[in-house]
Parts: sequence; structure tokens; C-alpha cells
Amino acid sequence: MRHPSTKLRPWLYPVLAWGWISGGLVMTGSGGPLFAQTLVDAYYGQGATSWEVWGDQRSNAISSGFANTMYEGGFVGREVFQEVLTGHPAMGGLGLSAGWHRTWSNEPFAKINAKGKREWALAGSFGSELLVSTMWRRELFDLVFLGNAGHTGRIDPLTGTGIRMGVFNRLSLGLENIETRQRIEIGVVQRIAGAEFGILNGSFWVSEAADSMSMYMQTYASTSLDQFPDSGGFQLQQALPAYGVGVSGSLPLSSDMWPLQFRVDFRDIGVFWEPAGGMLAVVDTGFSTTGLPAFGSGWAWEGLLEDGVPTSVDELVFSTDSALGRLLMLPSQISATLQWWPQPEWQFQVKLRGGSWMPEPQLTAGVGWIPSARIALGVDVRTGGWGGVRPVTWVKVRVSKKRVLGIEIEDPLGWAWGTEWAQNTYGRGVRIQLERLPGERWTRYAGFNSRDL
Amino acid sequence: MTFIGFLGRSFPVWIGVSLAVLLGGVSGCKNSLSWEHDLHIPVLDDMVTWRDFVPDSLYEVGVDGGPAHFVFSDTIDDWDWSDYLSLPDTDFVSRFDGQTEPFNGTIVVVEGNEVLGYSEPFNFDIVQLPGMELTEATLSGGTMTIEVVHSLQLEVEMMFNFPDINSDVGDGLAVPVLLPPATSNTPGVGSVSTDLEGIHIDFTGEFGTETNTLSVFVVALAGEVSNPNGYDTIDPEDSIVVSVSFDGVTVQTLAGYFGQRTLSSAMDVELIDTIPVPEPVIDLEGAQAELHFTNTVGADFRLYVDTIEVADQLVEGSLISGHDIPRATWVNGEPVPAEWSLDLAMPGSNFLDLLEGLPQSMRVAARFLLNPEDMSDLLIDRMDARYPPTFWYDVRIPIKAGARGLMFTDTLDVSGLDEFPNFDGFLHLDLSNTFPIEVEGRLRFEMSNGNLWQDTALVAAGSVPLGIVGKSTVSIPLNEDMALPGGTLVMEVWINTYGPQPFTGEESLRVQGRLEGTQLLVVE
Repeated sequence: MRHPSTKLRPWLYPVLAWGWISGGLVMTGSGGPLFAQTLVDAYYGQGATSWEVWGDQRSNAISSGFANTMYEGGFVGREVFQEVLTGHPAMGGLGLSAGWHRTWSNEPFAKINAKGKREWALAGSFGSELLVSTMWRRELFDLVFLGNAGHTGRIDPLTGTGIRMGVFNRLSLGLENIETRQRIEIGVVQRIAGAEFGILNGSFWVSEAADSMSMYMQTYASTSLDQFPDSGGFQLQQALPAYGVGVSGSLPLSSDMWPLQFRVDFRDIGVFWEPAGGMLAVVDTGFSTTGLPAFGSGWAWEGLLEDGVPTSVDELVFSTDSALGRLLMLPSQISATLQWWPQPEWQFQVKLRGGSWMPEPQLTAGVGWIPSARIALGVDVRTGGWGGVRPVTWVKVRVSKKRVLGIEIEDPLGWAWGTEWAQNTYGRGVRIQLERLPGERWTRYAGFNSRDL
Repeated sequence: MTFIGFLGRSFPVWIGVSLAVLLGGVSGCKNSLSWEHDLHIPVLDDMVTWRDFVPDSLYEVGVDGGPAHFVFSDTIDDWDWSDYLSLPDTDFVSRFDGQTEPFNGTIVVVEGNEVLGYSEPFNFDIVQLPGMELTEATLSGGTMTIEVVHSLQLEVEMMFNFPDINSDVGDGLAVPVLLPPATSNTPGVGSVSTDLEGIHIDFTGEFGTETNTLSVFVVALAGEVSNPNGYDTIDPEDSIVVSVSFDGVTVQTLAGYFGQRTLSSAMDVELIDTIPVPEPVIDLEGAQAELHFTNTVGADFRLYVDTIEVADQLVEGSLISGHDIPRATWVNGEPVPAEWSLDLAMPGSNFLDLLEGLPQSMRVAARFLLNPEDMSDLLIDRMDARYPPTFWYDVRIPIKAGARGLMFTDTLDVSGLDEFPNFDGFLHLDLSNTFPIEVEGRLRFEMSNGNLWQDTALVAAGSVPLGIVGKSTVSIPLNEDMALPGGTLVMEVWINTYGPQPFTGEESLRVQGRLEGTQLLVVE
């Protein structure tokens, strides 16, 4: 007997759309499988399927209150920036992620093992993702918003400041073992467009008496466009897509004696080739001065006022619209999750996740409550990634015998944008997942004890 | 639905959402955003040193903290030696025929017979230098051209020998001239030119006792005879005309006697284009002022100083008289100069007194009498064009001066501005002075709207030997109130040295400007 294939119900389209539009920002989530596993030796059905959309934005320095103040505009007082600077780490960062992802597994192959069971099923996944990663030095924030008057005599390093962004599509195929649920896929990743800017080495210094100044800047900017959008606007033909190959998969390890599961998930471990022809600009220059002489030509005030700046931009910037191709790492991500069910109603989990251009690993720990076979909910604490400590709440609802809807809200108060509640939050995120449980004789029904209600 | 199909359907949504997210992050604010940004940056660094108003060649930095010196040292070379460095173009022409060398009948000539043989002294008449008696000369250029015209109907081989012309090749110069046979209608003509550069000529003649004389020995032999008889004949009507020309001859060295001549020299000397200094005082103790003559000519001079004027005032004293200048001696073909000097500050001279007025010019006029004593019989004068004699002056004044009063005043109209960057602060001018001068700068800005801003900066005197730097700061407000109206800026600089002060030449006045204030940044 063949079970119906997985199809999205029409009513789910608004839900997904809401996930896209309100998603905002950043990534991943916990809220994965929660419950002790039950092995079912029965009918072979179609494998598990899931739809996932997410949006997440997070910073370790820019609070929602400050961002809202900047967004509202008007005159911003010095105390506002000083308050931000007080809690500003040495390297500020802001990350943004939005995307969707679908995984599926077919009915197992007809291959029969020694016990008469089918073992492997064809599996695959595809999706898209937008990633934006921004980093800046605390000193740069200080210079831009407060100026250098308060710290003359100090060298302000600018090294490490930069931004990169990319839009990726992915498609992968592989196999999943119906008993161990171990899964391995190999896929093609397309970067539709990407751009980056970075200060490889830079510094700014004004002496304590403000009688000498020096600045050095080694920086670059590149984009996967073969020309800048002209007056006609951006044309899709101007983009230079890049392609790569990555390995994705899942390695769950369950204990037969203890209610524990350890699970490693990884996605897009690989590289992609950025083709030649993109645009590249490089600046490697510096100057040191005690001030310009009053009279004379060239770099003197008289010369500047009468003849303009004697150095043209072309002398300082190397630029080309035919950059060489290069090999780059995919925005890989990997996570390790340890789950423990001390009682059927309770779940504890710890999850460590890295990659996806995050500046540091993201750690999540929390507890979940399963009051019934239809619902599970929990609270986590998350730190790392793009920001500091923040709360995460999640809920999973078994909307039908075969389907589970999961919603995870990261930093819930952050969604109260523009209110007092959100003032001290540093981001917000949402992840909506619709899972279809695997068929009979599969294992691990999304954390629920059984396929049956 | 296939994956490709799905992508195709979802792509516009995906791009739209992505752009929305991006633009939401970077599109800016609901309202214009502004904040204040405090700046401290250096913008000006300039320095006034001696070299800004005194050329390097006019002063010497003091040694070991001693005073610097104004140094006025230059040549007074307003004389012309070209007459001595060239010989006039000269032609020597000789004709040989039956009248100059009478003979009867016809002379039969076969190949190899001597047709003509003679010697002749060339006496150079150096018209531009009366009394000049050359014994030797080394030439730096010129051409000697020998041209022969004859009527003999046979080929003639002539050889001109100059035993007193020597070169790097060897002693003596032989110049062959091959003459083609003449016909009944056209003469036989031959010519040869010789470059004279680098050759040495002995002008003492065949016997070594003459002057301005060059000997030549000429032999002409019959060449191939064109007559089928195998011989030819010379008739009394036949002739040979020999022309030797010296053109453009220039001289590097000369020897002999140069005659008695008077050479004039005069020069207006620009001293320092001084800035008008209020109540100037100058201490000329230690000042030196001398006229010098470096005689590289192997001949005596007598100098008559006709005039020395400082700032159009005659220098008084016993300077104006005949001063004998000895000749250079000649060692291994090179002159060893004879140095002569005249102290302009000698007792009785008021030269230094005239310098106290910080003059801007000096005039010197003099005459030189070459060979004041007639020693023509000795023929011991020498000259080498590579070593011209130098008449020069050397005035060294220690810079120990003072002044007091208004040094400089100026008025500058400042145009008003339509807009001004959102900056409110100051342009601080930090002044560092090592001149031993107290400087007081007074600034007054009379704005068009009736407002007045004024400030005074008093910069204390500094001292290079003592390592003292006088410092002061002028703070000029820089904001819309000052910049927009425009107006008149009046600047005055007062100085006071408190008497004559020594200057080392290393003094400087440094002006450093730093901008300190608040910039309002606006993001629309």
C-alpha cells in the first residue's frame, strides 16, 4: 500500500508567506525533535518531509532601541552613542539570514536486508538563503558617531571591518537509512549574486596634541556583477552566478538503553568557484601629515584651493571589471545536538551550531514540556552567533496524524519593534517548520512517541 | 512540480523578499538623521625660515651657536678676453712664374723632376692686440686651407712642411697637395684643409728668435706626364699661385708678450632685498669686506679702483690708488695663481659705516693695466683660456641686528558665504618661535553685520643657542557667525628684539593649525 505523497495544503501557503515576509532575520533554531524514540516495526511508508522558512537578524552591539532611534531619525544626542559604546565589544557585528529549506525522503528502496527489511530511501533537499554579515571595530563606531576628540593619541585600528552578502540556492540528493535515520546528500549550490567589502589592514591616528595625523588603509571591494547598474537599473544579466558542490547530511546517534540522542547535522560542506569577470576595487594607501603648508602648489592649501586635489582617485584605487576567478568556501553550517528525555513529558537539550558566516559558534540550551501527544513547547537560552544571550521559545503542534507544525521565536521581545519592551533586545528571529512524519517502520517521529495519536 | 519549476515560480518572490530585507536594512531612516561628531585634526603646518627671505647663497649658518653671516661673494667679470683667445683670419699668397723666378727658354720636365722649391716665413699681424708678440700657442680650433692654382700641363705633387707645428701625432706637420694637370683653357687646381684643433705652434720662426712667425717649406715634384713624348715643358709664361689661409683660429694657451693694455671692469652688486625693518640697528663688529683678484695670467696687472659705492654713496679712504698684482707662475704647464686682496674696511675707510644702513646695492668700477712695466724683451707672459683670472668681492657680515616697531600690516577683504558646513569650533594656530624676536600679532575682523572679533597673540622671543622656543596660540572661531557675513580682516605684526641680537641662521617660526570643533553630520 502506498501512502499519499507529501503535498502542501493550500492553507499553508499563507503561513509560509508570513514566514518569508515577517521573517526578518537570522538563522537556525532549536526546536528539533524532542521526544524519546520509538522503533516501529511495521509498514514501509514514505520518509519524513519538512518545509522550513526562517528569518533572523542579530547584532552584538546594536540594540533594537538604538536601531529604532536611528530609524526614526532626527537629532541623536551624544549620550545615545556613548551608551551603545559602553556595551560595545571590541568587534561589533550584525548578521542577517533569511531563507527557506525543504527536505524529503522517498519510500525505501526494494532492497531487503538479512532480516527482510528495506534499509535505504532516496532523500533530497533544496532551498534558498540570503546571508549578510557585517563586522566593524569598536573604534570605527567611536570615530563615526562621536569623533576622535575624546581619544586623541590613541591608534584606532580598523582592521577586520567589512561586509559580505550573498544569495544562494541549493539542491542536493542522497540516501537516508530508515533505521538509523542517517542521511547523506551531495548537492549543487548556486550563488546568484554576492558582494563583499573588507578592510584588511587599516588604522587612524591623531596625536594627543592634534598636531600630526596618519592613516593607513588596505581595503578591497568586489561584487559578482560584470558592470555596475547603469541608469537603466539593475539587470539580471549583469550578475555572474557562481556554482559549487557541497555535502550535507545528518548523523543521529540514539541510545537503546538511555533516553538520549546525539545528532550531528551539516549542510553545504564544500566550495564554489567564483567565475572571472566580476568587479574588483583595491585600495592600498596611507598618508601621514602634520598639516599642509599654506602656500605652494600640490598638497598645500593654496594649491588645493586653486587647482584642486593633485591626486586623482584612479591613482589611489586599482579597479577592474574583469577580476580573476577564485575558489571560495560555501557558507557551510554544522550543528551538534544532545537531547535527553528524563521523563516522557520533559526534554532537555543542548545544541552547538557554527558556520553560516557567524563570527562565533552559537550555543543553545533549554527545556521542553510535552503535555500531550498533540503539543510540545519549550524555552531555550541562546548565546553566540551574531549576538549575546537571548531567550528562545518554541512550540510544536501536531496538526494532523502525519503533520507537525513547529514555530520558534527567537528573542520574542525583539518583535515588539519600536516599543519599550524591545529597547534592550539585539535582534529577532522566527523559524516555521512543517514536518510530515515518516511512514510506518520508520523511526523517530519528529520527537513524538509514535505516529499514532 | 519539478524543482526547476518550483524555483521558477518562487524566484520572483525570493528576489523581492531578499531585496526588501536588504533595502529595509540600508535604505535609511524615516526622517533625516543627524548627530554631532567632535573632531581634532591637524590642517596646517608651515614654517618661516631664513631661506624664505634670504637665498641660500647669501647667508652662512653660524657654527657652534655663533652668529650666522650674510655672505656676499661674487665675481666682477665685466671684461672681455676674447681678443687674446683668437687670431685674426690671415691669408698668405705667393706667386711663382717666369717673372718672379726669371729663366730663359723652356725647361724640360719628366716625372720626378723638382718643379718648385721654396721656404717662407708667415708673419701674423695680430691687429687687435698691438704689441702682442707670440712665441707659442696651443690652438683650440680653426682651419688652415692650402690652395694651389697652376698652368703646368702636368700633374704636380706638392708637399708643405711646417716644422714648427706640433701635435699629438708628432713634431712637424706635412701637408701633401696633389695638383691635376692644367689644360690650355683651365688651370690645375688643388686644395687641402687641415683642422688645427689641439695643435701647438712655435711662432719663433726658423731661427727661434722671431715672434708671430711661422715657417713653411714647400717642394713641388712633377708627376705623371700626359704628353705622349714622355716629357713636358715649363715656359716663362707658366705660373704657380700658392695660397695658405688661417680661418677661425682660437687659442687655448698663449705665450710671449701680451703688450700693455687697459681693461675695465664694473659691476652693480645686488645685496639683500631687505624687508623694511622698523628702527633697525646692526652690529657690524666682526664684519669683513674685501676685494680679491685671483691672477691666473702669467702677466702683471695694476689695479686702479675708480669707484666703490654703497647705496649710491662713495666709499671714502685710500682704496683708490694703483695696486700692483703679481703674475701667476707657470709650473708644468699649469698656472699657479697669484692671490691679491684689498681690505675695504681698512682704517680710514667708511665702508662698514655705510653697511650699517642695510644697503640694497653696491657698485664697483675698476681698471686693470696689463703689463704696467714694459718687459717685452723677456717674452715671459703666459695665459691659459681654461683658467681665466677672477676679480671678486667677499663681504661677510655677522647677523647681529635688531628692530622694534610695526613690521607688517595688511588688510584683507573677506567675502561672505552663502552657506557654511555645519561646523562650530576653532582653528587654533600654534606658533613656535626661535627667532630672538618678540612678535605680537594683532588680528581684527570687522564683520559686515557690525560684529567685531579681535585677538592678540604675543609670541615670546626664542633662542637657538639656548634652546628656547617662544610659544603662543591664536584661536580663531570657525562657525557660521564668523564665516557667513564676510568683512574686513586687519592684521598687524609688531616686533621687538630689545637691541641687536645674534642670529644663528637656524631660526624658524612654525605655524601649526589644528581644527577642533563639532561637526553636525546629517543623513537624509
